[in-house]
Amino acid sequence: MVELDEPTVRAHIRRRADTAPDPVAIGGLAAAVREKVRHESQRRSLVPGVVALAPVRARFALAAAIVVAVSLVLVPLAGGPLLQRRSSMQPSSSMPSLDPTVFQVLTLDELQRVVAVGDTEPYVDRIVVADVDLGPGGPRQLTCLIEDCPIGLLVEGAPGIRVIEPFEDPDILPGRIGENGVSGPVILRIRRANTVELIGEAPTAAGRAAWPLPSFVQAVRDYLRTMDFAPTSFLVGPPYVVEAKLLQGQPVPCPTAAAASPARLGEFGCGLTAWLAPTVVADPTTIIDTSDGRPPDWVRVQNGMYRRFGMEPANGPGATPNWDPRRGFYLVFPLVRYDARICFDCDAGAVAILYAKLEPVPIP
Amino acid sequence: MNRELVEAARRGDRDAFDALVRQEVAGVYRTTLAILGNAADAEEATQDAFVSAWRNLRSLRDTSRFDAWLGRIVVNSSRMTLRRRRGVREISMNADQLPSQASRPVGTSDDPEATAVGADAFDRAFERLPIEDRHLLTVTYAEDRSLDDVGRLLGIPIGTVKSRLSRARAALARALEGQA
Repeated sequence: MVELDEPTVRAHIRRRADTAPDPVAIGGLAAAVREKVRHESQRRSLVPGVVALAPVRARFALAAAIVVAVSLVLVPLAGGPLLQRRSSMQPSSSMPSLDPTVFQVLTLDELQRVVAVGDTEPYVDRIVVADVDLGPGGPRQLTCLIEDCPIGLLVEGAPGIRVIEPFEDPDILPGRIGENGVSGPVILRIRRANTVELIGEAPTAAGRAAWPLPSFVQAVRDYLRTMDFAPTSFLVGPPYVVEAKLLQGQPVPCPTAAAASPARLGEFGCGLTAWLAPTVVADPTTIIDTSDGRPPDWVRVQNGMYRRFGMEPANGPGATPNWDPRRGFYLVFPLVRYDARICFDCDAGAVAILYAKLEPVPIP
Repeated sequence: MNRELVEAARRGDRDAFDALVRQEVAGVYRTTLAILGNAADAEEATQDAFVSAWRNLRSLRDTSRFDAWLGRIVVNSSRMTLRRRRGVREISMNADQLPSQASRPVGTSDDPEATAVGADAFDRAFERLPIEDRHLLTVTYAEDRSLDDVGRLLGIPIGTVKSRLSRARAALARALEGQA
C-alpha cells in the first residue's frame, strides 16, 4: 500500500510548483504577454469588427454560410408543446399573441396560409414544425433539372405546395420521403411561396416534439449503444427540437489553429465554447464559470453559437453585453460519432450542431 | 485580485490588463509548472492563458469571479499545451532523463514525511491525473490555502472542494499503487 498523506502531497506539489521562481524569468513572462497583447490589439484595430477569436473565425465561416437566420414558425397552443392531430387542433391564429415560451406546431390549414406568402417577410427562409403528412411524388417540371425538384406533396389538400429536398449541406442528414410517405410532425423550411424544404421528421418524446434536454441526451446515448459506428466516423443524427437554455461557455485557448476534418468538427475545437443547459437549471452560468466538468445532461454546441443565437440585438459592438442564458426552442443535429481529440471541452452529455433558434411568427 | 483593474481591462484598458498580468503571472506560472512539470511548457501555457484572457475578457459576466474564470482558462491552456506536446514528446520514465526541476529530491522538504514517496514516482503518478485534478491539487497545496480559500478561488462550494479533493487524492494514490 502506497503511503500518501496530505503532507506528502503538499511537499511534492510545492516542489513541482517551484515556490521561488526566478523574478527575472517572471518579468520576462509578463513582458512576453504584454507584447502579445499589444500585437493582438493592433491586429484587432486593423481589422474592424473582427471577433476576438480570430483563428476560430474562419471556422465559423462555414457555419455562418449554412446556418441562415432561420427560426421556427410557432403558434401558441394553450397546451404547450403537446402534439395533437390536425383534427383536434385549434387554429393557432386565434391566439392573442405569439408567446416565444410556448412551442407551436402548425396545423395543415396554418401551414397552407403561411406557405402561401412564403416569398415575403417574415416567412421566407423560416423553419416550421407542422403536423402534416407527406406523400411521395409530385409533378416534375421541365425546369426540374435546373431548379429544386419536388420529392413529395402534402397528403391532404394543398396540392399546390411542393416539398423539395433540403438545401445542400453535406454534414446534415437530408430529409427523405419513402414509398410510404412521412407522418407528421415534420420540420420544414419555407423556401418561397408554396414551396417548402423537408429538413426531416420531428422525433417526439412523450408526444412532444420539443424535447427536454435530458431526454435528448439519453436518446443520443441510445444511438451509441444500439448502433455500431466506425470509431473514426463523423456522423450526424436526425434533427431534434430541444427546449433548453443557450449560454456562452469559457474560451478554450487557441494559439495554434489545428485543421479539422471535416471542417464542421473545427467548430468544436478551441474557441469560445457554447452550451445548451436544461431549463430547470436556474443559473447555468454559475456552473459554466466555475466547474471543470460539465453536467451529464448538458449539450456542447459549436463555438460562438451564443453570439449567433443568444446575443440580444442591443448587444452590438460597444454595448454592454448581457450574457444571460437564453431559454428557447432550438433545432439541433446530434453528433453521434466524432473525433474526441479535436472536440474540445466535449465532456458534456452530448454534442450537437445547433442549427436554428425557433421563434414564433404570426399566422397570416 | 483588484476588481477595478479587471473592470478597466474589460473595457479594453491595456495598461490595466498589464497590471493584472504583473499581479497574477507568478501564480499562474507556478500553477502551470506544477501541472505540466517543465518550465518550457509552463511558460507557453502561461502566455497562452493571458492572451486568451485578454481576447475574451469582455465575455466575463461577473468581474468578481475573475480568479475562477482565469483558473478555467489556465486549465484549458495547460490542456492545450499538453495536447500539442503529446504528439512530439514522450515523457521518459527513466528518472535520469526527467527534467531536472521535476527530479529534485524531496528530502529537503520541511515535512520529512514527504520522503515516503519518491519524487519520480510521484511525478509519474501526478502526470497521469486529469488536468482538472492537477489544477485542484496545485491551488490547494502549493500555497497552503484553506479549503475556504480554494472554494472562493475556484468559485465552488467548500463541500465540492472537499469531495473533489478527496477524489483527486484517491486517484493519485491509485496511480502510485499502479507503479508499486
